[in-house]
Amino acid sequence: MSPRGVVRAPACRRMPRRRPRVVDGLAALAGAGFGAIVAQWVVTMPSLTGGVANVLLAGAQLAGLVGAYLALVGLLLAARVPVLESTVGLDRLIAVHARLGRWTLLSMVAHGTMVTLAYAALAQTGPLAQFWTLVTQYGWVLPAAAGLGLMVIAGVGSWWRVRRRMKYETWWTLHLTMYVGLALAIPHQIVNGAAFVGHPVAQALWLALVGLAFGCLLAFRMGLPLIRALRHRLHVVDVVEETSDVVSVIVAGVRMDRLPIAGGQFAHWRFLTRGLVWPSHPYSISGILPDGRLRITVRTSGDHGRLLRRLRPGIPVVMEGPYGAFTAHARHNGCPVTLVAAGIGITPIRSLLDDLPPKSAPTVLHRAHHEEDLILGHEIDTLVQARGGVLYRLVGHRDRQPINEQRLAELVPGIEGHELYVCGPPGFAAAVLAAARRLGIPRHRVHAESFRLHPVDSRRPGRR
Amino acid sequence: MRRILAVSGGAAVGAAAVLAGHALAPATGTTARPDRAETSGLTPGATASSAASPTAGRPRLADGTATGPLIETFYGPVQVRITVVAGTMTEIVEVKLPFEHLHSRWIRANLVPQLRQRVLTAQSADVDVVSGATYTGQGYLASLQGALDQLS
Repeated sequence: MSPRGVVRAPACRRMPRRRPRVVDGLAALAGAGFGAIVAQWVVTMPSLTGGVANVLLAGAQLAGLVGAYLALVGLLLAARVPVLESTVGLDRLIAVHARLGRWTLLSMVAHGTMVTLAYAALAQTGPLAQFWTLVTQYGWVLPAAAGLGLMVIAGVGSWWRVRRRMKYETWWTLHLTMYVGLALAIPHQIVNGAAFVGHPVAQALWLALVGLAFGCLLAFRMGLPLIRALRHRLHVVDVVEETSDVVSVIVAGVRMDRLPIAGGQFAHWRFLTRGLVWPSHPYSISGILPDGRLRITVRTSGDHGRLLRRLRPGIPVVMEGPYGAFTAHARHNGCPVTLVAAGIGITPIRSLLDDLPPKSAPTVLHRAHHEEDLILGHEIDTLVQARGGVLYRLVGHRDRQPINEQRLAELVPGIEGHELYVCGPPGFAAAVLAAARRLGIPRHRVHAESFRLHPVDSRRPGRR
Repeated sequence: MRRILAVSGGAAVGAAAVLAGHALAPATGTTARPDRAETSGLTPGATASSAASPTAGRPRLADGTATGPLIETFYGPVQVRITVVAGTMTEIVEVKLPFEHLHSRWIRANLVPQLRQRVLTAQSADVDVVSGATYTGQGYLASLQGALDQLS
């Protein structure tokens, strides 16, 4: 069966829901943890009147506690917790994760430095000698120092200037050491930390938080994808050539109606064949067929994409996801919808169109450099027409076909009252988001999906 | 904006909860609760002499030096040596303090001097243990009492 043509989503599909209250609640909980940590520090810190060493030590303890807490929050943000994925969306979670990450590492480095200096001052030795004493004589400090080293290396690797020179696979593998480093740093807190030693309640709560963070990570990033792969027996059924450098991969399985998935979402895919197992790659779902089969549409110019052409029917698939809040459910009641895509960014919009109701009259702006890059053009056309909407195809270089505020206002009258969905390369998405801001579209009605695990930010170009 | 309010509101509640917990906890269990990472890491021989406050009326102490028994505490061995001049305890030297834990130096710099001062002021081992050094402090006082007994 051809994936082309209008396809309807299965009626009984499990859909993610909009639950902003839940997100507020979780944000408050994260804040409560932070407040509790700081209060515990205030109660257990050394008195600040005891000279510079005491002040340093107090600062070191605060930096250590805050750093560790932020690290655990960052871990939870990246743990693919389903309720966060379907309400906030992975790209925004990762943007916060990356921003927090910088402060986390800074705090931890400050902690190590200040502890060494403080004890060196108290013992009246040099910092290096003191560092040696700390790592050799105090329980779990050596693993913690090694862990901090790993985290700093992984952190530098995530700095965009470094990261853009790296292959995605290299970065992904390097970033795994972050978890190892953090795990190594945990025991010394309990064994030596003034906030925890002799405070069984604080210890128990802290260990519970650590367990929660690592537990979520294992459960949702390893357990759940594996369970789903086995339960739904996902496998490749077809590879369809869309254009000379774009292919679609069709994935089928059993009991697909039990998979909570919405048009516009994406997943991290692994195909159990040589070169495609490690690591996973994020691709948007470009269609959910009536029988529950999933389709991804991928540009094959990258290393990974090229390998996808070699996929054969029957190859097992492990899917991490689906993720993303770029769905029709993010739409506010009754708002007209405008969808803006560039190039391959049309893929989530294609599956999102499926989920829009028949009379929603969506406006679709599809930009591409060349006519043949307007992939899935026929399907988009059919879907938009079936919903009484308008499709604009903007072909040409971005200088000749800019999507700025004048253009948006001119093509979409009354756009400030619309729900706006934007998908494309980070630079494009950032430009459209800036235009939307200037047009006065409220932020909660603007939804963006950039393909990379990068914050949407024009100064930070993506890798591909 | 709403989320910032949620986070800061949560932070206030969390901080208040912890502070309230600490305020209530002593009321329920004041006695044997080790308050802080307690430990001490004196390199043996670190001495602390102190001008004795000549509290009259108490002593009956013989002049001289006495070393108290080695007391094993949760964190390690504690032992002190005292010097008595003219019936007044003038100096306490910590012969041994545990030093396994990271806070040893902090306790050495902060809590042990406090405890030493209390003992010298009271001229007796019958003083309150410094909060935060419960185990070490109890060992300290036990060893000190042993030394005092030798000179009585």
